[in-house]
Amino acid sequence: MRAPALEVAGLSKEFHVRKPSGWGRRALRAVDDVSFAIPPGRTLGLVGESGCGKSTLGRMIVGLIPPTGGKIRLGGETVRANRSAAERRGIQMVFQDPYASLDPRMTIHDVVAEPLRINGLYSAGKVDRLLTQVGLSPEAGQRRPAQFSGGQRQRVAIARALALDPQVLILDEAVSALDVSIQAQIVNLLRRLQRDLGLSYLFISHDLSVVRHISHEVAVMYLGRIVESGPREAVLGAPGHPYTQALLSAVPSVHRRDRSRRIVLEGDLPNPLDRPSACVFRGRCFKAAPRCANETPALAALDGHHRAACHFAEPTPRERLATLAPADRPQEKTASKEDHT
Amino acid sequence: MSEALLSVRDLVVEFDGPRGPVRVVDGVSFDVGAGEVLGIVGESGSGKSVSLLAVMGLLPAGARIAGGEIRFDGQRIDNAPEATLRALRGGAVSMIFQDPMTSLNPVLRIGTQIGEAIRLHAPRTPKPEVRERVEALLASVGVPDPASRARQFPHEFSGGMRQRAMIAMAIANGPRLLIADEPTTALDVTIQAQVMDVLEGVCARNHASMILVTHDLGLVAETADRIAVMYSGRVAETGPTDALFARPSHPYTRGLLDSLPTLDADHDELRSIPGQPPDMAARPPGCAFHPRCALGQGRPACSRERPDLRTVGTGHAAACHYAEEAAGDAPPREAAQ
Ligand SMILES: Nc1ncnc2c1ncn2[C@@H]1O[C@H](COP(=O)(O)OP(=O)(O)OP(=O)(O)O)[C@@H](O)[C@H]1O
Ligand SMILES: Nc1ncnc2c1ncn2[C@@H]1O[C@H](COP(=O)(O)OP(=O)(O)OP(=O)(O)O)[C@@H](O)[C@H]1O
Ligand code: SF4
Ligand code: SF4
Ligand SMILES: [Mg+2]
Ligand SMILES: [Mg+2]
Repeated sequence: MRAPALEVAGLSKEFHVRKPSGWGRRALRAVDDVSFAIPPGRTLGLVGESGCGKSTLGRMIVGLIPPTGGKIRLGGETVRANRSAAERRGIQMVFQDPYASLDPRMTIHDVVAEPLRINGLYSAGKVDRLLTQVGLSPEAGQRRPAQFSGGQRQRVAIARALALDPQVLILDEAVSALDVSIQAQIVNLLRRLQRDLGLSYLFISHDLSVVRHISHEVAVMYLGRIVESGPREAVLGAPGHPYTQALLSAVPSVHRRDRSRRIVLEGDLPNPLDRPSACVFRGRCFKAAPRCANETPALAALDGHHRAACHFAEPTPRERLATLAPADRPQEKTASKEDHT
Repeated sequence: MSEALLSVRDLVVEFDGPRGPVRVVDGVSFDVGAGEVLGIVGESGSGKSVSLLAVMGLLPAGARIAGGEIRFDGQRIDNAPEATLRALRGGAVSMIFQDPMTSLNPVLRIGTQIGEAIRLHAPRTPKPEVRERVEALLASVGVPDPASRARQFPHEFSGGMRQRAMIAMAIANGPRLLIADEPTTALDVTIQAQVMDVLEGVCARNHASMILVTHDLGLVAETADRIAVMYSGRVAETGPTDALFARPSHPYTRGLLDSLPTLDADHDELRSIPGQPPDMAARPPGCAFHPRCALGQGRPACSRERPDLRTVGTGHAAACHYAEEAAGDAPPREAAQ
């Protein structure tokens, strides 16, 4: 069996942040003991609440910030803190914020050319091809990032990340700034590149429909931990963890504009500065029981590869999620809209 | 609609380009009534953000309003002096920008920045009260542990937390019009639902209006009363939310809806509209969508005459010569190449 293109084992990250008083610092555990493997040519979709550590995880994997603990392996080889040029080339990231990640003084052509030039691989034709691949005209290369819309910049960032023919690409909300038609084009492009070149993707997104479309496996994070993972049909079709269940019930849809199906999470919002003991989801869980405060649920198998970290995990088909928990109070607006759907 | 809170008529915005001015916004009109939520969706790069920056009087250097008028509460604001605009911004009208990092100052603590927004309109608020309100605002947009978080710098926040900090700033002074440019793209759907509840709550309490720009068609479907769809600097279609989704009458709108991935269907390829959006500096003649439009293929009107918005239903208009056909059985399109 071929080694996974990317594997992380027990990866953790702590930040030290200021106390409210302004004196002293305390630890913020952004990523907590995360493990997964992505085989060559496959995609792992990573979803989770905002602030649960997805970008931090990605930044550790590309080597932008050092992990507090754990290991990263590329093609079976453990990477050291000091990465070789080949290791750096082999894994690229498209950042969440296309505004901050492009140098405003460079032309688009130079932005895409930069990694090629550094590695002595530059040719103008190659840059033009990369731009065309992501749906920008080569002439657009003469403009500067400020002259582009959010979605256009996002495509420049993707072209740049593809420049060095990486084996692994980390895509952090890479298509969320795009209209759905261009998003479809980029997603199709990513899948084609994967088929042709055997690329592996870690695809971070809040859009569960896109994640379902592009991923082979899906992992769900909450407060720094993976709380559910497995084949996409299992995780997104019949989720077992209450957080995943709430997430899927809340996806707005053009076809089903009925908010009453939403599982509403009560309780305090997740706070990495003050994580609940035992189960991290306890404060907002509609199924919480005394056991959840005392015993940390392990990421345990539900069915084959499908795993969830919950004492009472119960895979439930998506259509039946609304029956699990108290629903949202019906809203005036919804009522008037329902009769048209 | 005479009592619209915001009324934009035939707005034209030009940028200086290497070969003369480029019309990035080319005759855009829309109204937002009091208490109404207008959703704006459309092509990436079609001029959504630029139109709204024009409303705010915040166009970047090199850009200017080259035509049309903008009225807020009946008053022209497109040619208003900077002082008037400054008084409006952050007071009666506030904007949540698409790009959190350009509107948050990287060297100031989050709490300080929200406090400044409060003091801008109530300069004599005592310090402890400002601090209390900052924390309450952060809590209302779902930032946990607001006392600690207020002391942090923007780079210490996750993408979604920065977005929420900006929302807190934008609602600090109870605006009458809230312009939200992609306010929830970095948020998971449970927090998105909560933030939208906050925004709708602010609007309901003040009978305020909102313009919501987003690529999330499900989100506008849930939130907006009316929708405008933009393509290449113009409004391609506009109408009440229900009508627009039930009877999309512009081929571009249909193309967008067809491109949506869903949680159910399995496709090898997602459908997408073939071809690329036009270059603003070299817009095709006639209908800007015609090189990509299956319905318009070979029809002379499409490549010659620019279609204006015309009524296809109550409050529902589309800028297409063949809008009725588009709404009915459009011929099957080729899948994306
Ligand atoms: N440089 C830093 N210093 C201190 N704390 C940080 C830093 N970077 C991230 N954090 C904290 O780590 C946690 C995880 O942040 P991260 O950006 O990884 O979240 P995320 O899952 O990508 O969220 P989002 O979906 O909102 O982008 C957050 O609580 C954030 O405030
Ligand atoms: N400073 C600038 N100079 C020249 N052109 C610009 C400038 N800023 C924006 N543009 C152009 O104006 C057009 C409209 O941009 P705008 O940011 O309004 O798009 P948008 O509809 O908000 O797109 P998105 O959904 O991607 O955010 C784009 O084609 C962009 O290239
Ligand atoms: S372990 Fe308990 S609190 Fe945690 S998700 Fe399961 S039921 Fe909820
Ligand atoms: S006017 Fe013609 S080209 Fe334009 S959208 Fe309508 S049918 Fe298509
Ligand atoms: Mg992130
Ligand atoms: Mg924009």
